[in-house]
Amino acid sequence: MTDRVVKQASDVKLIVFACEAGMGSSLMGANQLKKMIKKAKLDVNVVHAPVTQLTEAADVVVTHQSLAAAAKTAAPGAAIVPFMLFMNDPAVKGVVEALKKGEAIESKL
Amino acid sequence: MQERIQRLGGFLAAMVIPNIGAFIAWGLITALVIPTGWLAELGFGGGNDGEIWGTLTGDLVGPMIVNLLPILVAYTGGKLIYGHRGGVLAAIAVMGVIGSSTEITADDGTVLTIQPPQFLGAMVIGPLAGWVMKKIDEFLEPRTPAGFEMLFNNFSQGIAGLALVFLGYWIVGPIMGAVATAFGNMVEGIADAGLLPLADIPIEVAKILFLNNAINHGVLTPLGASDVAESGRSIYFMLESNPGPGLGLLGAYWFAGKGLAKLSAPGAIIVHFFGGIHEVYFPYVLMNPVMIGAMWAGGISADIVFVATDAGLVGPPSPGSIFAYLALLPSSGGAVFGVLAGVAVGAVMAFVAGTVLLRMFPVKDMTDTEIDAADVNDGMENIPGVIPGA
Repeated sequence: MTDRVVKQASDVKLIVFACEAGMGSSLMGANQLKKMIKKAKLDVNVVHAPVTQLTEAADVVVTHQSLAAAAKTAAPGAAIVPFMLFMNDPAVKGVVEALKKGEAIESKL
Repeated sequence: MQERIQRLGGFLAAMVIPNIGAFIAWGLITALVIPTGWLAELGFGGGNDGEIWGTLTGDLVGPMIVNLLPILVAYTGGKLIYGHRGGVLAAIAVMGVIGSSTEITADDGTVLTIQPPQFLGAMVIGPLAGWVMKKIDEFLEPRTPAGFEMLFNNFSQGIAGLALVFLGYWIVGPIMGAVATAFGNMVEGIADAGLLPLADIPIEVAKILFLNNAINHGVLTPLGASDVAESGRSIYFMLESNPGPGLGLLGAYWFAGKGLAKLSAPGAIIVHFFGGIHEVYFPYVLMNPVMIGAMWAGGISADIVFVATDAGLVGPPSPGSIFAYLALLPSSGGAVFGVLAGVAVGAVMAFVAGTVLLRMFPVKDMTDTEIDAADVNDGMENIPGVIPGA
């Protein structure tokens, strides 16, 4: 699977937290992620959106694993990071950790 | 397949969700001013027979459900396809659809509602109008002489509006009206036969597959709005959004679960039950699919209570938080009891069934070794009411 999207840490400017409607859980998730990003003192924007309305501008898309396929269709150029739990999922933490260390983020699908 | 349904359902929901505030405002106004509403029940304005309540219903409640809500839905649908220009054409076009419906009037001739309220028609003509506007602009743009842009823009939209109003009035309105009436009769038939609680079986499954908004706002919210116009409250608002069963499920994980699921359950309860973000409990079902049984136990028994007590809410509780439920309680005492009892029964039944199921089919420890309690507490610190380490 070499054709997976890989985003270098320095290229990640916009993380989109996506859910189905773009109003409820993604807003909550995006706010949590924002706090983590701020704590880590990273220069990255975090926004929330419905999974069907993702745009090319997204570098990394964080979404629940059952919406990951839809996210991939909507934003083929972004690294997709699926998670399982809405709060404190290791995958979400992993994004912040990787960016802090300057590591690349590889799309999971 | 799931992605496709998600896409269609997501689009339907996307036309309604940005306008939920208007639905809630309308629901609150209805609850206050209809002749059987809160203010009349409390004896203001001459009580239930007070003339003022009939006047206010005709002046405010009727026009809002007949015009405002479908126009907002259609505008949003047009806007999703082609921005503000698409939205404006959609708002024009939906007036034709609305006009094609039969008016239901009070004795003094004020319009109470239309039969059927044209939400379905709005969901069809809205995106259609957006698409038409887009195609017209794509056609005209290379053909517009310099300096004539504004003239072309305004009159192409105006003339398209004329055509779409007629299309809505003579074709889309009658067809979608018939479909909505048939669908409404079908649902009413199911409800009259006392089978509404069975609707919970597909609803719970759809929810955990993230079709929650599609079901709730794509189908149930418009259905409920029509229902409120007739009877002042609707059970349809509660079929998907009841926070009780999810509370019971998370409680079962807290009580009988293991590992990360157990540790994270209290925080999830706050976000789910008080914040109304139901998505937080879906993973707890997905990680141990047998737990859908707990959701069914809670959801079906809650719906039975709702049906038996003729319970309903006056507007869509969105998000599905207990606070939204309290804010949208109807003016009838029996129905208020029914709403609260349904939420409570749903929670208890889901908790009992969930605990039994968890004991019989313990969830496979998910990555317990990688995540320790400290990690979980770390993530909880931002959630109100959760004391890290407690």
